[in-house]
Amino acid sequence: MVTITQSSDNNLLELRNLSKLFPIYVKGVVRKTLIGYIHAVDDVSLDIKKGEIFGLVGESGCGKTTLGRVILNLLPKTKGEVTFDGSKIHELKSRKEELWFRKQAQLIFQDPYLSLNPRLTVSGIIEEVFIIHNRGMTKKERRERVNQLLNLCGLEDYHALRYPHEFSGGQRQRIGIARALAVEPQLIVADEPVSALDVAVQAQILNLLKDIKKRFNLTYIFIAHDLSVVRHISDRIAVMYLGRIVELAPAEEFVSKPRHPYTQALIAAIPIPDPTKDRKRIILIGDVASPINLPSGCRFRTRCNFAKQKCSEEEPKFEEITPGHFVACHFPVELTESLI
Amino acid sequence: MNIVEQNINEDDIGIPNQENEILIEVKDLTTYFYTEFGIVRAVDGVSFHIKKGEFFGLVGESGCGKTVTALSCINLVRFPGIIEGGQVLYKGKNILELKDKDIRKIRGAEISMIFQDPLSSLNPVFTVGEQIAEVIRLHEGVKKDEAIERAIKLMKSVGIPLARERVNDYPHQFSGGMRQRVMISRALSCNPSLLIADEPTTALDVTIQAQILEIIRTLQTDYGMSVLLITHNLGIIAENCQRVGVMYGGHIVETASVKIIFKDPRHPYTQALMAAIPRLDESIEKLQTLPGSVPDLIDPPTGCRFHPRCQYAKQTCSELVPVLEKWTKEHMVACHFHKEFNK
Amino acid sequence: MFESRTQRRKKKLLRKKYKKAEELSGNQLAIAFRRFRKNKAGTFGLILSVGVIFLALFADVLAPYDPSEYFLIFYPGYVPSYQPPGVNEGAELFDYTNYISDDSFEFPSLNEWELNGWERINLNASGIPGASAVNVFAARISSQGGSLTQGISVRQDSFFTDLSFRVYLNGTEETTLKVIFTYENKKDDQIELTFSENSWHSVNLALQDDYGFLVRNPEELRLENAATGSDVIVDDFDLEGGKYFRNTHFMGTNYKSEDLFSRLVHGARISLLVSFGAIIISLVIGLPLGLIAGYYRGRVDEIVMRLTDVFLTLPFYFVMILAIVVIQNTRWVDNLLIEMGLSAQVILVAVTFGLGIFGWMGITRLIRATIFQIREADYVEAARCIGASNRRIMLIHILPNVLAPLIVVVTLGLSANILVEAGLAFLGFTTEDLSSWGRELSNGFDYATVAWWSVFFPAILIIIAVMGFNLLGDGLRDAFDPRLR
Repeated sequence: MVTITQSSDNNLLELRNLSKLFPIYVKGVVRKTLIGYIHAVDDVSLDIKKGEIFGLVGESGCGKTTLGRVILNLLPKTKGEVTFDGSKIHELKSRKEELWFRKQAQLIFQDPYLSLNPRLTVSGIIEEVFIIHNRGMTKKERRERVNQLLNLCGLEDYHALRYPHEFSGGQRQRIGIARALAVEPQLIVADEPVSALDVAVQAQILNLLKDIKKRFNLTYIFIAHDLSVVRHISDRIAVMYLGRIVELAPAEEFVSKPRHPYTQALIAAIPIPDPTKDRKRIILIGDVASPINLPSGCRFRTRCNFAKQKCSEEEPKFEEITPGHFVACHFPVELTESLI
Repeated sequence: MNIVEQNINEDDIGIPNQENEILIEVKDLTTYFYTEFGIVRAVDGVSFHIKKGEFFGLVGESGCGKTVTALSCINLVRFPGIIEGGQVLYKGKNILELKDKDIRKIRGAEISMIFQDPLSSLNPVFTVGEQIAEVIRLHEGVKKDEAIERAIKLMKSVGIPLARERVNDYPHQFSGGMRQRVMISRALSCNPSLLIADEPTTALDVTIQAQILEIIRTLQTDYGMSVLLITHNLGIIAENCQRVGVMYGGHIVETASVKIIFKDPRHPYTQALMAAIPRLDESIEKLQTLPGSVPDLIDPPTGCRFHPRCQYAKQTCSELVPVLEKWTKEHMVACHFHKEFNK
Repeated sequence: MFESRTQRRKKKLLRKKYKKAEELSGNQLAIAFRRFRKNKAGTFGLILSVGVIFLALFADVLAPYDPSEYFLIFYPGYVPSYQPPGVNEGAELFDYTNYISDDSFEFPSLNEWELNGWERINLNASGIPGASAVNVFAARISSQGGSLTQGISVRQDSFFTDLSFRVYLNGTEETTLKVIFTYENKKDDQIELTFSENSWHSVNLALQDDYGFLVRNPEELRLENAATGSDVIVDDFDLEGGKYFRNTHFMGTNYKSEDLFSRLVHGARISLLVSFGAIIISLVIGLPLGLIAGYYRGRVDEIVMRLTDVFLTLPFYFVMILAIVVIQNTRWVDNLLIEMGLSAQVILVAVTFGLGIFGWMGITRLIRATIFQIREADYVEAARCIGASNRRIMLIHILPNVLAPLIVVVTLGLSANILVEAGLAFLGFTTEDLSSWGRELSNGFDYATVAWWSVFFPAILIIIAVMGFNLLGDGLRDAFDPRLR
């Protein structure tokens, strides 16, 4: 299944055959019996280049959030490996190495209400980073740095002494971004950072993310279910379906020439605010299959309009069909008309 | 569907005459919530109308009063909310003045509603068949067997596979999309003339969202039903609705037919909203943003509620509340200066 | 009309709004407490709880009498020892003339004593040096055998007969009196009692035989000066003329004629001591178990949860009763307790430990559930993501968020403990010489129909304490409720 084997210096992060299975138990009187696994992430291989914004889309339950957590070593992997800047991050032994990785990669959360400890002030939340990583800093220096970060994220100095519940959703998300920036990371995984926000606020946060990306030459993995947002911000987009990446392409090509039937349906399903467009509608049949009892062969075949005999027998390989464009489909569809 | 090509300058914009009849007209609807924090002016003088067979959208950010407007339309606002004034004329009758008994005859039968979360609107201890049949029996007094038979038909019509077998299933045995279909089939059980759909797809995935919207659209054309769709997604409005009302801070700031509003939004808020959304079909380097945040409806800004965030705001805006004015026949704008600026 | 009503409402709500905005600033705990202050029921509960704690802390100062001092009075119609709430004045209550020839009158539970009625006693006080009189008042006279028997208070139930009286020694020096009981077929019993001069003395004597439980009725009772051997004869006992005592028992007295208020105030100390002790024991067991179960999950959690299940299925009262019986009948435990100086309070100690050992499950479950929730909160993940250590996450991110529900559950646990302690004491599991609410309630229970105060006041105090802590707990829960944030 591995098609990308060569690694290049240009890659910040490399995933090789990464899998994350969650065991499911049935509780008996005495002991639990294993009845199967949820295939949250299944054999994913990817390269993330330095300085790119990598968009990851998929419907709920497709494993995109789990993938983000495994990349950050917040969840243990089941199989495969994740290499960051040459080090395998799941095999970091010492506390020093772990702290090194924590300084390199950060997470921005979806829910701005749950991601900040309600018992700490904003300054307390951000200062914690310096307490952990920069032990030599004095309190005054820490405060100054917090103010710098807050200003950078569009907040004022006086906000530092307030508690999270005094802020609006957008402001809280800014605090979350400031915390992530505090370690001066190379990689930021943004897990649905704008999906809980209103349109106007969403635009502010997206602009902010773009600004700081340029300013600090960051690399993003931008996880979202809203393809319009992902397309707006990303350089490359990958789509996940039931734990697998089914298509990966540069953003422009991804929306204009999608090859996988699922990607096509996804794009066709995104409403576009332009009533003059007469778009082709692709309505998929049924629901996503259970991630516990996966269908044989191609996982998408139960909903696919083009499924053939081969699809149920053999799993499609994730292959490069044009430069930079990978698809996992036996019969990639060539579109005759644009979907957008 | 009856979307007719129209030009902005054309005064007569039209949907064919026999369907020009107004089904429901909301006039100066005002609903306040008396919370412990203060009076929330959730809906403050909202007026709009929906014609027979029309797909009308109500769009706005969270907390702008769109859901409360819909609930007020069928007099379902619960304490601490109180409908302070206004009229909701449904086929000429003011719903807000009807007796409870008469409203109940209309609710569910002539005007029905579907909500964002289908699981919490279905009773977990009854089968879906019983729940659909209950509505039919309540309003039409038919026998149970017959009602169940009709429930199966309805479930088939909204695309629930194996409807005859699944009619005896309980709500938790359905997936999110299927539950929403059950809700729709229940809402349709008495052939309503108006369907109010409050964010019906927000909790669903995009591919399922497409399925549900497709069903609503088909049913609307097939049954000639009017639909009031409430959403925050401008894309859904553009692809499904015929006319749209944009709400901001408890006011309707602009109403127009969808084609016109997307081509020529006159209200600065509508313009800002459209510029702020990232689009699938365009690559924009930087999104336009709105400064500030949604107004506090307990202590709303004086004059135009949008003026603190408006780039065109002048002295008058903070003093006078703008009313909906006619720009073209089907295009109403609530802005003092809508004539003066262009997009 | 409509307009003005709205206007008024508006103004009122606007004022409220500014207050609210003020309130919503600052630390979460501060907000919770500010919100608590606004909760009337909770504040009421706080006042009640503080009041009960205050009673317990300052029992010595607040109790007007020694809790084990007897205040005897005969009050026809009642079981002798009970006195109703209010001021009790001896002379006013003794109206002998009405009863002197009333043959039909009998004390309820004293059938064995043949009563002829009430008489004035004239005794000579010549036996006491320098004393003008020894006043043995409130005497009941039996004409059995032709001689006078001064059984002053007689309580007789299936276990024992006791004899209580009150003496005022109107002398100049401390005197030891010998009380001699004369029986028909048996040699005399005697006991020596020392009285100080110019003060009232309560005497309570149990009449028992060698085995300790047989009831004997003495033929005669005599008082003798122990030093000289001369009879003490009390004379000129003028009941109508003088007010020999004036005691205020605003909650009345109990079956032993002890001041009920003083008993209950001291009882508060016992009840609260047991409840607090038990909750501390519960915390010591429950908090660490909850923390490790919640944080480590998996097998550890499984074991802890099964342990709570086991404890929840054990019948508490049954195990308690069994434990106390075993403790009381096990010699080495007895010896150990005597060495530790706890032999008198053995039952209280057992009850405290019992309540504590059976009360930790709720705490463990709550802490575990809360930690499950908090562990999943994004801010804990965020802390892990910036590299915070396990200890740091525990101390800074998890523990402070567990504190609020913990305070609530401890407060509610206190009220439950008070109730269960009262229940156990009611069943007789309490230390005899220490007062506790349940015990007072149990003692008053038999005569509730004649002496309502003896059950009413203990019950009211239990209700006040339980309600106080419950309201306080509910108020705190509302104040900490995350949904109101």
